[in-house]
Amino acid sequence: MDLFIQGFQQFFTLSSFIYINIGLILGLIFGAIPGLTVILCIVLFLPFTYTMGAIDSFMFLLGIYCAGGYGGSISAILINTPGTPHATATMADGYALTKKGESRKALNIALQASTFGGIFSAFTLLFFAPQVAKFAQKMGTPEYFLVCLFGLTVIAGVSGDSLIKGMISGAFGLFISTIGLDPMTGSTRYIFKNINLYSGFDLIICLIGLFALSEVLGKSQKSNQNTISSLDEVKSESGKISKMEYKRMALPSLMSAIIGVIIGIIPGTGASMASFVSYDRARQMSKHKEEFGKGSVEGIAAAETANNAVTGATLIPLLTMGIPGDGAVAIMLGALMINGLTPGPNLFAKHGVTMYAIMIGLIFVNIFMFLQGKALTKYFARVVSVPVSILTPIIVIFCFAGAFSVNASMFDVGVTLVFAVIAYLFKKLNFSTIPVLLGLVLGAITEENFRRSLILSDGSWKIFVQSPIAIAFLVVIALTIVIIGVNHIKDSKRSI
Amino acid sequence: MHSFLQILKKLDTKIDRTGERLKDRKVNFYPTVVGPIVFLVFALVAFLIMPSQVKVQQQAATTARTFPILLLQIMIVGSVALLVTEIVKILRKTELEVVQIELLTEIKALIILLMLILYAILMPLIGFIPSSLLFSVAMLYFFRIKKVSYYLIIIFSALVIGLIFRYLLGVRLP
Repeated sequence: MDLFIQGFQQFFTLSSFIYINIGLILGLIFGAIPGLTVILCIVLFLPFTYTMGAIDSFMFLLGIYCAGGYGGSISAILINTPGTPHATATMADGYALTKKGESRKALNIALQASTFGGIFSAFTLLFFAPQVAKFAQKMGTPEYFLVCLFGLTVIAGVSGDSLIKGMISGAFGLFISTIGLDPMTGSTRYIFKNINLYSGFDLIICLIGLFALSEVLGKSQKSNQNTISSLDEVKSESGKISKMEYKRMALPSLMSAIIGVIIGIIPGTGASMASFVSYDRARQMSKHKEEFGKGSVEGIAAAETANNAVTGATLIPLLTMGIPGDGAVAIMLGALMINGLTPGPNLFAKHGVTMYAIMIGLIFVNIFMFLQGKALTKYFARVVSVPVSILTPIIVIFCFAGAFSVNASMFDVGVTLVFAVIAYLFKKLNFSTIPVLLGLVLGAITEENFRRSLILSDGSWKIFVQSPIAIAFLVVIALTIVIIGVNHIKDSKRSI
Repeated sequence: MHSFLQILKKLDTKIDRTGERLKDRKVNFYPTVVGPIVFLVFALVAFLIMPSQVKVQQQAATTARTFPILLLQIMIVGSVALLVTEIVKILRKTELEVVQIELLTEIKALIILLMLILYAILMPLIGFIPSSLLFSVAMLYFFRIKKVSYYLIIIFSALVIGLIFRYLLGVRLP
C-alpha cells in the first residue's frame, strides 16, 4: 500500500499531466492519419524523452500508445481506411454508420468503448502486475534467459508468414546488438576500427532508421493524397447514443475487455487479434447478427474495447519480466532503459514506486483520452485529410534532428540511413522487422543472462533444465513453436 | 524567374515522359530464394571475418564470440532450411513465390534515398535549417506538388522543427 501511495504522489505532478496530454494529441493525430503508425510516432518523439524523467517519459509514450488505438478508428469510421491495423474490425460497422449519416455516433461509441477497455486494462495491470512481479523475482539468470528466448520466439513466430524467417530476423537484431564493446570481457566486436562503433549502435538511432525513415522510402509506392473527409457532417450531428444501445453494448464490451486483457498478456498477439476475436465473439453472442458489417453498435464497441484493453495488459509482461508484447511496447522498453530502469524480474523490487506511478498514470491516460476525444474528435476528423506529401518531409526532418541529437554526431545520421535501407530490403524480402527490433531491445540482457548462466555452470547447458521454472519455460517455448508451426501450416493449406 | 519556370516545366515534361515509359515495366523477383541467400551470405561473411573482428583473450566458459557464434548458427541453419524448402518445391515442380517488382517504384525509392543522402551530406556543410528547407522543397517537388501553400507550410514546419530542437531541447544542431 505504501508503494501505491508513494507512486501516486510521484505521478501526481503538473508535468505528468502535461506530457500525458501532449502524448495523447500526437497519438490521436498519428493514429488517425492512414500511413502513419503509432510506432512511427513513438520513434519520432523518443528523442524528446531524453530530457524527461522516467515517469514523465512513460506518461508521454503511453499517451501516444493509447490514443493511437482510438485514433485509428477515426479514419476507419470516416473514410473507410483504418489509421492503424487494429481499427480494421471497426471499419465495416463504423463506415456503415457514416454512410447512414451517423458518423458522430460511431465516433462516440468508439471513444467510449476505447476508454472503457483502456481503464479496465489499467486496473488489471495495477492488480496483477505486482503478483506476477513477485513470481518473477524467484527467477535466476538461466530462467531469465529463457524468458527472453520465449519473448523472442513468440514475436518471431507471429510477426511474419514464417517462424524460421522470424527467428532469422530476431537473430539478426540480436547480432546487431552485439556490435561494439563486449561488456563482460571488454573485447571489441565488429567495429572495423571505427571509434564511433565502440559503444555499439544506439537503440534509438536504429529505431529511427528501421521504423521511421524506412516508411519514407516506402512512400515511393503509396498514393500521396488521402481522401478528404467531411468535417461539416461530423459537426452537424448530435451523435447521441440511446439507452437501448448502451444496453446492447454493455455485455459485448465487458466480454471484449476480458478478451483484450487475456490476449494482451500473451506476448506477440496484439491489438489486431484482440479486436477481431472480440468482434467475432460479439457477433456470435448478438441477437442482431444481421446488423454486423452494416453499422452494428455492438460491433464497434466490441472491436474498440478490445484493442484498447490490450494496452495495459501488454505492460504486465513488460514491467514484470521485461518481455514486450508488441513493437510499440518494445520501444517503450527502450525508454525505460534510457532512464536507467533495467527491465527484468528486479524492476519492481528496485523501482517499485516508479512502477506504481506508471500503472496509476495509465488510468489517467485513459481518462484524459476520453476528455480529449470528446472535445477534439470533430477537429481530428480534419486530420485524416492531411496529405502525405506534406507529412513525409516533416518526418524526415524530425528523424535527422532526432538521430543527430542522441550523440551530436553525423555518424548516427548515416547509421539511421543504413538501417532504413535494411528495413526496406527486409520488406522486399518478406522478412518482418519487428523481431529485429526485439532483438535490438533484448540483445544485451539476453546475452548477459545466457553467458552468466554458462559461467555459473562452467559451460554446461544443463543449467537451462535444472530448475522447475526453467523447465516450465522450456515447455512453454516448445509448445509455442508447435502451435505457431501448426497455425502456419494450416494457413498455407488454406491459401492453397 | 521566367526562364527558371520554363526549365522546371521542361523538367516536368521529361519526368512525366520517363515515368510513363517505366510505368508498366516489371521485374520478376523470388523473395523466398533471394531472402535466405542474403542472410546465408551475411552470416558466412560475419563468420569469416570473426577472427579479425572479435579477439578472444582467455579460454573461459564463454567468450566475446560465444553469443555471436550462436546467432550466426541460427541464421545459417534457418537460411539453409528455407533454401531446402524452396529446392524441394523446385524438384516437385511446385510454383515458387514470385513477386513482380515495379521498376518505377524502385527507382522512386532510390531517388528518395539519394535525396536523403544528399540531405545528410549538406547538413554539416550549410547547416540544419537551410539543408532542411532545401530537402523539404525538393521532396514536395518529387511528389509533384504544385500548390504554393504546401511549400509555405513545409518551409514553416522545417523552421519550427529546427528552432524546437535548438532552443527547446537545447540540441546544438549543425
